Amino acid sequence: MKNQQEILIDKAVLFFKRGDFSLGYRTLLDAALHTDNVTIFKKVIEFVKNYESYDTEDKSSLITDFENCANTVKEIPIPNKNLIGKTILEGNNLVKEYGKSKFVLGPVSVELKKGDIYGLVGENGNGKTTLLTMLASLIKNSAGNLSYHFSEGYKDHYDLKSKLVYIPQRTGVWYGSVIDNLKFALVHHGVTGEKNELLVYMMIARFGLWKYKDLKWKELSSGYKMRFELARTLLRRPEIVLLDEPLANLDILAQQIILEDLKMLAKSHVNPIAMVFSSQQLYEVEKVSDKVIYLRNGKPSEELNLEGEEGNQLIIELDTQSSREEIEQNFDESQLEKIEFNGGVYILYFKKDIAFNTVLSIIAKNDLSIQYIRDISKSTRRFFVY
Amino acid sequence: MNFIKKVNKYLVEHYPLIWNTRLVWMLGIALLLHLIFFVVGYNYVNNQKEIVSESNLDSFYFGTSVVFVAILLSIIILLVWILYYLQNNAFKNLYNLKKGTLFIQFCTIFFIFFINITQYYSFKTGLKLKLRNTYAWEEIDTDIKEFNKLSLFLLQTKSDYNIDSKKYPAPFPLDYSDDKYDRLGRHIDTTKSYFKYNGYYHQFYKLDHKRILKDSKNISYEIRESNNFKYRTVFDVSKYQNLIDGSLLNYSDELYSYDQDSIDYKNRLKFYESLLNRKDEKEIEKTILPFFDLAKKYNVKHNLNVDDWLYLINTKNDYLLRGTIQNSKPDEERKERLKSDYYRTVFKYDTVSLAGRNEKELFFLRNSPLTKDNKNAIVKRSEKEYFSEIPYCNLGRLNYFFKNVHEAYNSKPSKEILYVLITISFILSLLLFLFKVTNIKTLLLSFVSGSIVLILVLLSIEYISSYRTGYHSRTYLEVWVFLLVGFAIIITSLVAFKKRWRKLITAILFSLALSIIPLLFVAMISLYEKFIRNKHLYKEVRRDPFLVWFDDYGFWVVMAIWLVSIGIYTIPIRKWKGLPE
Repeated sequence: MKNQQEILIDKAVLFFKRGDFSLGYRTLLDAALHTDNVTIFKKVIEFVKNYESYDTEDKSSLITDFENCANTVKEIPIPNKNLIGKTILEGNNLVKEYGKSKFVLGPVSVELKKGDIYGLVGENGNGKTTLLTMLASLIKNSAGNLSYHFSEGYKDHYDLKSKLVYIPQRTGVWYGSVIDNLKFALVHHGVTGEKNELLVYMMIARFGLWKYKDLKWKELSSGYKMRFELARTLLRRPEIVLLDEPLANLDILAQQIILEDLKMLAKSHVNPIAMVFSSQQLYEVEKVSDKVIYLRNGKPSEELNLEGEEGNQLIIELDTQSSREEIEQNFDESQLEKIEFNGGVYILYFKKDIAFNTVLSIIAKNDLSIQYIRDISKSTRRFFVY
Repeated sequence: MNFIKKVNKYLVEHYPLIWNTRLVWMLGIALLLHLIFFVVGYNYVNNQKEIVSESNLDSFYFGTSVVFVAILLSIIILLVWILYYLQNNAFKNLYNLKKGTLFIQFCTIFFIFFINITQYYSFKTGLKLKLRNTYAWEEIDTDIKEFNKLSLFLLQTKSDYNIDSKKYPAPFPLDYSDDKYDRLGRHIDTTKSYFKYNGYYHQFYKLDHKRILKDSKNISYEIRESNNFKYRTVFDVSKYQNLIDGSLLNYSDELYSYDQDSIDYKNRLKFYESLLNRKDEKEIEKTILPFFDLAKKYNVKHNLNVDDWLYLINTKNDYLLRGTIQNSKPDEERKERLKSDYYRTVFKYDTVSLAGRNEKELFFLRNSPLTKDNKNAIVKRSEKEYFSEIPYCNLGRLNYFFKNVHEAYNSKPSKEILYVLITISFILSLLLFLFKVTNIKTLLLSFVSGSIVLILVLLSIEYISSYRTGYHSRTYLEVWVFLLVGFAIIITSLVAFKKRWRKLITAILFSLALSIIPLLFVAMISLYEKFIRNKHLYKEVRRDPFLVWFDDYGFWVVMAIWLVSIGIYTIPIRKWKGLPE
């Protein structure tokens, strides 16, 4: 029976064969990183150089090299560690009060587990950053208990903070070259000499920075600065990563790649990470998150009892040129409970037992012209349209 | 460039602190700079004229533009370094730092500051080496001894030939008082021996200084002549009374004292005594002749000739001072003024006919020898024969020359300058370190807070002292208030950390505490010194074993305490960084 590492490598080869070269390449790099082996790193970096110097999008001619590389990686046995699902952070009834602004966050209770991704959504000024910084131990909670369960304990608060990685929306300014900054971060975590360089190159390749590795940080675009930040973060082998608006200022493609990377890294069977990130990109957040926390006026959705209001009814977001009356004509009263229009889109609340496919078939049958439709019954999107 | 890259790559992958502090490059730059200053120092002086341009070797650095160039270079190099050093900050990025790393970091930046502001030592080493390579001390020492021997005859400073300068034979040296005829008893103890000479009464004596000190309750001050009669042991030296007018027999000075010991000096006085007592002008001429070679060797400008010089030495007349040799070439105006002081008295003989003289004239003329035929009298008369030139001997800055060469052979590095440079390096390192571990806001607020505390301390002292009187209470008060506030800041900083006060306040208190620690120790020592001074005797301050020890090692102790304090404080600073806001 194949173990998780072998499955991952097989997936990488499969992706590459199917033509998903980038995904296959990144997956193979993840597998290689799991080995933590200098010989493997050397071999993989040889392939990386070849891959990155290949100008055409079609990289199918590299499949033999890719497979050879994959087979080499496979030679290093990586037993299943079964770390996923292990609780790493527990916060019970966390409250943060700001005296002057009268703003109160919480009480919020969270339990972060390794391998889980938590999305944090809410409008501006509702406490997302406050919650993240509180979980990162950057600010002190006014009430509640916060505890961490790292695989290795921490000696003091500095030690604790060096284990917690918080990436703010506006990342710090870095001086000097990309590579030196990454090496500098890594060497402080005990990786020196040749391994330091190889691991940095691996991480650079993993986050698509290979072509920019010799540049200075200030010469990178916003998207690549975020990739640099992630590479720097991952070199520290964190068990918890807290990201504040990592998708801000990124184009759609960059957002998708970053999210995909976050998911892959969090779900690593060797070094799984509990990841929390806030974003305004609701669809993207929900796509990768195992759980989404919605905050309104500092209160989570559970606290606001929003979940219970709608129950299990179907809620649809609809963008159409048709008028409210035309929509109502298409659905009879036994199906549609209410329609809301927030000026841009319609939110349709259906009665219990009405399925999304039923609604789609009604729309198709009546030839209702629509631009966009989405089932938001389970999405926090429904909280944004009040 | 390839080499630099390779070294940087190795350092960043192995020794992040060395890479971050650019220690290797700063050490390289500092060594290069030291080498340059060494070469500059070596080539700074090339001849005697250049050597005498400054009174001591330190002045070649601190008294010239070299110091400004060095300061500017240090500022430029250190500013560029600081820019690079601040680019990476493992502590602020919460990288996994070992516990001693912060302290090692402080020591490293102190070392970098220190080696980049100490070009003075290289410059001086170069300068000293040049002087040592150019001049052999044995030769210079011989010439100094010769100059010192000759100085008796140089007749440059009139006061050196006064009787109160006389140091030999016993019982000289003596203190000396004189009174005018009509004021006898004012400065002279008439109950003891004194003598009359040249319109004045004179008394020579020795004072019992130990008794004076004891009687004056250990307060050291000069006791007035009229009040010191009871402390006088009077000597009858009336046989030397003619020396009161000034004579070479009084001269007991030393022209150049560099590396000349007391035995040399005593031997020289013995030599003077025996030479002068022999009154052999030929021997004296032999003694002064080496001067002309020395003058040539050391570019001493003079117009001395043996005849005029021997005349001024006045061998036959107890060496009484006839006039001085000017210490510089007089200008025309001065020459005219001085001309009348420099002459010989010569005697001339006139043959005067006795024929046709009256009785009165004949009486006068017959006192003079007569010619064989008794018709003429040979009358002797004196005449002033003025020197063709005013004698001068300009030794110039020859003393600077001997002093600088002597320093090149004998001086040790200046302790005071070393203290200043270490203190500057320490202060700059601490400021940079605090900026590195906190931020500019904390640093500025620390400065503001420190200023406010200082103002409050000063106001408190003024307020409290307005209710108290007395100099001593005021000086005690100042130190006590300072100590109280200082210790309060240190204790508060630790309480703030323990009780988790706001991080900014804790950081400000840390900064203040680290700045104030060395001053506290200095204040404690100052308090002890004041205590000894006030409660005991003045002289005790100089004899107190602790204060004597502190004079020698106090600086190092205070610096060591400061360094240890920084080392201790890095532990809470590390923990403080990890605390939530």
